[in-house]
Amino acid sequence: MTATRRRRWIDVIRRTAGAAASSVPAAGLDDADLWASREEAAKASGEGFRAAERLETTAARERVRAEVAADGAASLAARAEGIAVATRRVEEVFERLRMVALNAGLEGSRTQEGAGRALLLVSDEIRAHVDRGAEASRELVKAVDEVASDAVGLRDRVQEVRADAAEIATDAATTKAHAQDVGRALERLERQLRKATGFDPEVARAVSMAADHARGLLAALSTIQTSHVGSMALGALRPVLRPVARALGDLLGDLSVGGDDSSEGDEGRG
Amino acid sequence: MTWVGATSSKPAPDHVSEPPAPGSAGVIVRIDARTAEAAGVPETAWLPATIVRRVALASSTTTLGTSSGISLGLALVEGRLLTLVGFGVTGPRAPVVLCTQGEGDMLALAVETIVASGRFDDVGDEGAVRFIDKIVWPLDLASVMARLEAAFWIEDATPPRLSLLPRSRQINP
Repeated sequence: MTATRRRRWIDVIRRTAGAAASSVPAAGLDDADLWASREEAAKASGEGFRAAERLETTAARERVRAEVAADGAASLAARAEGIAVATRRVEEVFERLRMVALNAGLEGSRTQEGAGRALLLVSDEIRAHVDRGAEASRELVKAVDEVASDAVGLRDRVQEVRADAAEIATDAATTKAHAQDVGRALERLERQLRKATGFDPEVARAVSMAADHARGLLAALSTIQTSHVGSMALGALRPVLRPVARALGDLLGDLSVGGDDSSEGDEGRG
Repeated sequence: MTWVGATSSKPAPDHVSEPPAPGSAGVIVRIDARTAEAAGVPETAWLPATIVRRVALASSTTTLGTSSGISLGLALVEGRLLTLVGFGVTGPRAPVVLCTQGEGDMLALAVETIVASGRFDDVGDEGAVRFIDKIVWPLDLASVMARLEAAFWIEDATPPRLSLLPRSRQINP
């Protein structure tokens, strides 16, 4: 194929793309765009609905988990309180034991040297152990009190999470309802569009797609043409472009009947 | 000098009496610093075994009045209702020293802590003892009781009120 002939092919394609943009009645393309937009809106609405559904399910699941965690925290707080009570009882026992040791010491100090000294020693020993035990017990009470306090705090936080989850579930349900409203509105829009444009949605989609592809092909070929390896690249594309050019030639023939155009004279040459 | 012990068993013929143990027997108590200052008594005080019967925990206490940080009330100790002399705030399970006073009446002395009991080295002639490395002065219980009587009983014993005190101890009988 000569360079001149190749250039003509490109011109044919360019005109065809131009025709897609300008030669076909503008209302037809606008209708196609309208349909495409409706399709996108319907798709987005469906995705929004499904996302809201998933969110609702997740929120419900999280709410159940939060309830389980809140119950656990409450149980932990109750157990900690029980341990604190038991530890306080231990502390009281130590206190009583301390009194026993002090009384033993007092009696030891009143008794004869030998027996009294033994009693005093035992008293001192017990008192030392009791003091250590009471100290440990006090620390334990403090630690358990802290655990109980933390558990109560945790329970409160979890209850907040549960409340948030409930709120999210409510919002998700609202979003879902709105998405359904949008879906119904789009269905009404589709009916009205069908009535107003007389287009079938499938055809409208094909028209929109063809216009997009024509614009894309034109842009790509223009780029190739201006490239320093343009001739070589176009040569490689020849087997693909030839049937396209032929189809476009036929199409342009049909379009030229409907009105337009400047490319009319070139068709025969193509 | 023969040591008189608590046991009533007869000593063996070859028994040699043990020497008296050194120091004085009693109880060391600690009183809340602010109360001690208000009451004019030492923070760490000493109660000799001659007036101390034993130590215990009060089941419950009630205060009837307070004077100079010393409270007067009732204490339930081991099932017995006793006069309570408390230094500072006394709550349930307060440690008390059961003391005999006057004609052998027992009273409960509530303190912050009962620190130790046993035999302690004497220091000087004024009844002080050594506890660890501190000199501890005795608590003058008779003086404390006299102050309480002056604060609560004598003041209220003016006619026409009926006083529970013996006639000889009343003012304006």
